[in-house]
Order: sequence, then structure tokens, then C-alpha cells
Amino acid sequence: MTNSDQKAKVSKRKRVSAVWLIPIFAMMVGAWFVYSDYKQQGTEIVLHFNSAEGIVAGKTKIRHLSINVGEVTNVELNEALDAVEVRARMHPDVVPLLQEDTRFWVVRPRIGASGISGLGTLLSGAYINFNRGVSETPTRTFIGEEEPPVSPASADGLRVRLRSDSGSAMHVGQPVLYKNYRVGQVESARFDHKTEQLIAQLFIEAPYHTLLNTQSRFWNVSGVRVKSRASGFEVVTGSLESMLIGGVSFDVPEGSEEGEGIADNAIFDLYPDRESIDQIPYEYGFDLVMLYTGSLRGLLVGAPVEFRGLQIGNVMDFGFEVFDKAQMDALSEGEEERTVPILLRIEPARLIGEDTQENIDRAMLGITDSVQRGLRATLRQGSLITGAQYVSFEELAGDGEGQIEQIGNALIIPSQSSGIGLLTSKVGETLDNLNNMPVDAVVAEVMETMNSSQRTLRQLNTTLADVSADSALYGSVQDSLKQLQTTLKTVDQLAGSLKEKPNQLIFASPKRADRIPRGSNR
Amino acid sequence: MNDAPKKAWEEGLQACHVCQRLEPLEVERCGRCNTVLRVRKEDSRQRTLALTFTASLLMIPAHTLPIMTTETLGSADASTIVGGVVTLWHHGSYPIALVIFIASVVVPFGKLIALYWVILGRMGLDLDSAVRRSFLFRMSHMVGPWSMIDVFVVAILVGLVQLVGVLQIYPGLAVVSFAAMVVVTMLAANSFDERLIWDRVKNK
Repeated sequence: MTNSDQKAKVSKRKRVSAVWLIPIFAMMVGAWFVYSDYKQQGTEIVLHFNSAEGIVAGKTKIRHLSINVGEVTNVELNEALDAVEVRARMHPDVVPLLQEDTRFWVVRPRIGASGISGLGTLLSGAYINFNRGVSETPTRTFIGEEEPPVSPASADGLRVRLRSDSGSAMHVGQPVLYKNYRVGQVESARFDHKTEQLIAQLFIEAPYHTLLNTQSRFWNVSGVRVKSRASGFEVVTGSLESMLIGGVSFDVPEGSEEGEGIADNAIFDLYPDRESIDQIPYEYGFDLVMLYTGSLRGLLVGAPVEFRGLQIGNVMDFGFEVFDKAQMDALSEGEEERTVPILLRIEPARLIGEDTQENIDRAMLGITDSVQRGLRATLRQGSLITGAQYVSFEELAGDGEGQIEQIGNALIIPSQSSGIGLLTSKVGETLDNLNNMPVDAVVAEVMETMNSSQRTLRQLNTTLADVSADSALYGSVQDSLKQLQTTLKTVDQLAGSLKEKPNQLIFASPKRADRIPRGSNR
Repeated sequence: MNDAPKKAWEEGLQACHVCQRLEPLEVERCGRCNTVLRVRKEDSRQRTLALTFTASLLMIPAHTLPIMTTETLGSADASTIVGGVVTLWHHGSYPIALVIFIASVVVPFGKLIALYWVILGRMGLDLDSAVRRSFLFRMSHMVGPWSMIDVFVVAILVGLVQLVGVLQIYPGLAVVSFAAMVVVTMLAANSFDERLIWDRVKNK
């Protein structure tokens, strides 16, 4: 044990072995893995969905252009417990795409009017897709869409909003047509319960968005429309696609001015059909109210207002609700008959002049002037089959002077009942006149005249023998005969007019078809 | 109970650690197998400790990362070793679950614990605990390679199941770290000189 040589051989060396490089290396590799994993983890985003159907934490992927760029890490109810909060990690490369207008939606199998999509997810399970945003406002919290957006925010084109009061529903994916060619689609549609309007967002694809301008008007081309009009029946259909799934079309009204380009998110109104966009093509016009005592049966909103057969406006509305209460009270004062107000919109540019305010003023003066000379608004039968009526401005003789009155803020044009109403009153008047006519007196007079002429003839007979042809007596006889002749003519005329006048009244000469003014084609 | 065993070097001898032939201390190489002779393996404790530590590090990714990813009709499903065992257990495959659990979890962890215990254990030992330690060390050394069963299972599955689009299995990073862990543990066990256990036995 005292041998120092032997001891030296078994003593432990205190130097550090190179083998420690192995765990150090392992640690470094591990640390690098952790670091790269942390770096790849990316940004956490929060998506709000109505339902978490098909979304599984740790499994559901987030894809962009069918490439996995993120993964759902957590799915839970939100604080209010009424929706789902999905947390996901996004790959760092796609973080620049996450802008305010980036839209996320869950891809599930869908069958819609525009086809079947997302079939692959039947087997693989749902995944979350998104469209790149183009705004410059990065955000990390998004509201998930329930339906896939039809066109990406980055696509070239124009987005406009369409407002519609009618029940003509618009659906996502419906085509937007221009001369029956598809140039865009309905992106979203929602019903605003406050304004009771349907607001749809349309996307017009890139080369075609220039077709849209301030003069453009949209109308509904869904399905088949059958319209009864003043001129008869009309059946309107669009393309087969629009017949099946509907759609909206746009164009400029015929003869309208050149429009200016429009900005994104401009608001347009949806018209029920193509015709109605031509109905209101003028920017300037004025409203008149006619008060009508006869029947309004057959009158439709949109019926033409004509002046000597040329359209100058439309019926906008009729019925008692045209007036507010104050106006109604003012109206019922000093009226022996209940009259119904009819609101007319007159657009003088239809007939003459430019669509400007000056023209309106000039036309207003003209109408005021004409009314003083006997112009009256009246209702006429447009079609015997449909019974549709239209408003006609006519210079009715014998009505004398009139003037445009004002009740509240409404201008009242004097009116004259017509049609059946006018007919019956005219016939009645005529019969009254006939009754009042002194027919008996005339006949008695005639009889007396006849008697006296007989006497004259007898006297003539007795005196003829001693009266020569060139005597004075002969001349007086001849005068008497002439008188008799004129008297008989008068009676004849009377009988003729008695026969003819009611006949004319009953069978009024037939009307020719309405003329619809057309602007110049461009 | 018993005295500490007598050491070879006390008699001026050393044993070849390969063929166990006894040679005098002065001899450089084994006369039978030509192995370089050492009284004790060089830096045994340090090496074993370092390698065991490496194995412990590798254990972390081996059990936290997915060992394989099963993609069935587009939906990927990644599972860890323990996750796989739990799945098998839920499916009622108790024997397979047990085998994998023992081979992939119990044995590697047991081996690591055994190695730490053997290296860092209390210095002064009595003969009985030295015998137990020695037995434990040999057992873990023997069972160690069987841990590779999981790696083999994954390797075979990945090779066999490749129905593109319908069912595909991909190996995960855990396979690599697990295999590395098994290898490193074996190296650690190899670099440990069992005789060090006996060196520590002290007389009462």
C-alpha cells in the first residue's frame, strides 16, 4: 500500500472527459429545435364563429390557396357563451395577409345554386380558409364568415351596394348581368330590419366595372314576370340561369345622360324590372296632385301621365294616404264630394328640353298657363281588356278658367272626371236638356203654322181664281211657303241632332295605342 | 455481513474487460484477445454520466413529439408514444398496450434511473446492496435493446402502409430521438465499469 507507483495507477484523473461534448451537443440541438419551433409557431389569431361544427383544436388546419398555413390551437365558447372563439396559430409567412378585411370561413361541403363545393372535406373534415386582405390595418381578431365569400377582397373590380324594398330576394352567388352577360355576382345579402330593406353587396369583375356609372340602374331579373299594363299583358323572362337562380341586371336608362364613374361601395336602388328603370330616368321633375271623384279602378302606380298621347310623367301613388292629416282636413273643407288624391310625377324633359331645373320652371309656368286656359287632368281607359287607366292632361272645352291650387306642400291640378263617370254625367245632362226643351210648344207652333197655311191654301184656292200669278197676293203666298220650308228644316235639324248626339256619346271613337317616348339610342 | 471482496490490483493483477483473462499490471495488452488492458475503464463514471444525461435529454422529445402521423383521407392524426399506448388501451388491446408501455416507457426510464443510481449512488456500500446494484445494472443492460420495439413498429408501419390519399403513415421526430436515446443508453451502460460498484464496497 505504500508503493507510490501502484497508487498512482488507480487514482482518478480529475480532468473533464471529452464525452461531455455529447450531452452539450444534444442540448444545443434540443435548444435549436425549441427555438425554431417557437419561431415557426407564428402569430396567434382569434376567430369568432357562430358554431364550431367540424373545428377541432390541434387538428383543423387553416389554409390559404389550399396550403396549410396555420392550425387551430384552441376552441372554446366566448365569454357571453353565445358563440365560439377559435384560437389559431398562423405561419409567420402569411402574417402580412392578415389585414382588417381578411375574411375567414369554414370550408364544409356545400350545395348551392352555383355548384357543389368542399366535397373533399366530407372525408378530411372541415378546414378554415381565408382570403387575403388588402387594407393596411393589421389585426389579429376576426369575425368568421358563415358563407364563403364569393370573390376575394384582393380581386380586381368594384363593389357596390344594392338597396331593395321589395320582396325580390337576392342570394349570395346570384349573377349580376349586363345585357344578359355575367359580369359579377352578389357577394352578400342581408335584411336590415330597421329600414326594412334588403341590402346586397355586389361585386363587378374587373374589366366590366367600368360599365357601371352614376346613371346605371339595377333591376331584378329573377324568374318570370307577367305584367298587366295599360297596353295589355307582358311576359318578361331573363336567361335560363337567371330564371332558375335569379339575378340582377344593370344598364343605363334609355336616353339618359352620360354618367360619371362611381366609387367603391356606392349605393344603388333595385328596380323590379327593366321597364321601371326607364320610368324614372329623369333627375328633375315635379309632383302634382290631382283630386279625382270618379272610380280609380284599373289605375296602377306607374301608369303613364299623357299629354295628347305623349307621356310626360307617371302616377307615383294614389289613395288617401298621399296626403297627411292636415292636408286631408284642408281638402275635405268645402268639398261636397269625397275626392281621392293621385300623386303624379311630371318630367318635362320627356317631352321637351333638357333635364334641368330651368326646364322644370319653364314647364311649370306652361302648365299654370294652360290650366288657366282650360287644361284639366282626367282619367282615361287605356285598355278595354285589362281595364287599366292612365292620366291624361286635356284641354276640355267649356270648363273655363282654372288654376293650380296649393294644399300644404302639394300642388293641385284641377281635374275632370271622365270615363264612365264623365259618360254618365254627360248623358244625364243631355237628357235633362232634352227634357227641358220646349218640344210641345214647337210642335204646337208648327201645327198652328200648318193650320194657318191650310187656311191660307184654302183662301188661296178661293182667291186663286181671281188672282193672277204676278199679282201681289201671289207673292205673299210664295213668302208664306218659304217660311214654311225653313220651319220644316229647323224641325228636321232638331230631330237629327236628337238622333245623333247620344249615339256619339255612347260609342266614343276608339283610342290609339299609348306612345312611349324613346330617347336616342347610343 | 461479508468483507469487501479482494481487488485484483491488490495482487498486482488486472483483468481483461473483454475476455476476463488476468494479466500482471505491467502488461499493456491482453495476451489472449489483444485488448488494451486497463485496471478500470477510462473515465468510466464521467462518460457514463455524460451519456446518461444525454439520454435523459433525448427522452424529452421522444415522449413529447409525435412518434407517427396517421393520415386517413386527408385528416392527419399525430400520436405520441404514451398517446398510442392510451389509444390501444381504450381499444381493448391490453397485451399490446402493455408490451409497448413496458418496452417504451418502463424500460427506458427504469434504465436511466438505474444508471443514475449506480453512478451517483451513496459512496459507502455494503456487499448486499452492491450485489443488488450489480444485478439491476445487468438486467437493464440486457433489456435495453428491447426498447427499440417501438422504433421497429413505426419503421414497419411506415414501410407497409402507404396508400396515397387514403391511409398514410409518416414517422415523427420522436422516432429519431427515441432510437438515439436507446443507443446512447446502451453506450452509457457499456462505458460503465461494473467493477466500480464493487470498489465502493466498504468493510463494516
